[in-house]
Amino acid sequence: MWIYDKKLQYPVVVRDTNPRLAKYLMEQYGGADGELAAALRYQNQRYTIPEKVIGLLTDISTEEFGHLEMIATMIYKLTKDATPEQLKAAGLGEHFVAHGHALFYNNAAGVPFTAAYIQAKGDPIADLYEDIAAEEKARATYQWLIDISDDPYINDSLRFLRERENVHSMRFREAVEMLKEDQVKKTFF
Amino acid sequence: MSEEQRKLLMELQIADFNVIEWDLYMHTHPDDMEGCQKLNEKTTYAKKLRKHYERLYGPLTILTPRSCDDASCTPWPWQV
Repeated sequence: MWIYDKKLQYPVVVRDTNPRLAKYLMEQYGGADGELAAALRYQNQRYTIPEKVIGLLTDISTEEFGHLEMIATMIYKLTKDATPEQLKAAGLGEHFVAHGHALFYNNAAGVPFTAAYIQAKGDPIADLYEDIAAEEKARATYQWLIDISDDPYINDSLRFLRERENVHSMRFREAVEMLKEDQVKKTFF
Repeated sequence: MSEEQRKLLMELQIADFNVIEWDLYMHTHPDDMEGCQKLNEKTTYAKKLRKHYERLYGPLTILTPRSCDDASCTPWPWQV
């Protein structure tokens, strides 16, 4: 069960309308290495992961939903006052026709989210290696977003999110080591 | 949102962040007693600060009782 906490994990400040930047940010909303993919992936892997990693997957998955809300806030605020003309010029004409000013789980190229982006193998090492890779890919995406964006307020929030990917990756690596130690112990029995 | 509320919200965001960070750390360092103590300190402080914020600006979760005659209501995060 989850309880909603009515605040963002880290502040999101948006001063200007910028649908082009919003379009780029959709990569982290409904993209293959985005926050939705991350949250759903860890959430679903929890059931078959060894006991000592369940808490980690639960808490990181929960945090990813918070990141999804931060990205949604950025996209919403960057586009809410944009005219159809501005959206069209930013490459969001097709998005506007299908969704108006609503958000949708698309990537930056407008491709809708699919569960095929994520995996659950039922093998702890395979799953955790996928999770580490996911964090590293998300970190790289945040870096490219920061490089392409000239909005200092958005970049501040993106830098926070980039650092979180680093921390999650580190924790997942430590979890792999914990499981490997257990495996080694077992072979000596 | 007033400047005072924004400031207190930021303090709460920092306090809650400390809890999240120490909690994740403890998942992979279960034997770190100092870390466990740190986590408990951070949790106690965050809980206290949350109570203070909610008393001033309204509930953040459904677990906090709301006053029925008062419009005090903290805004949705994307409306801040």
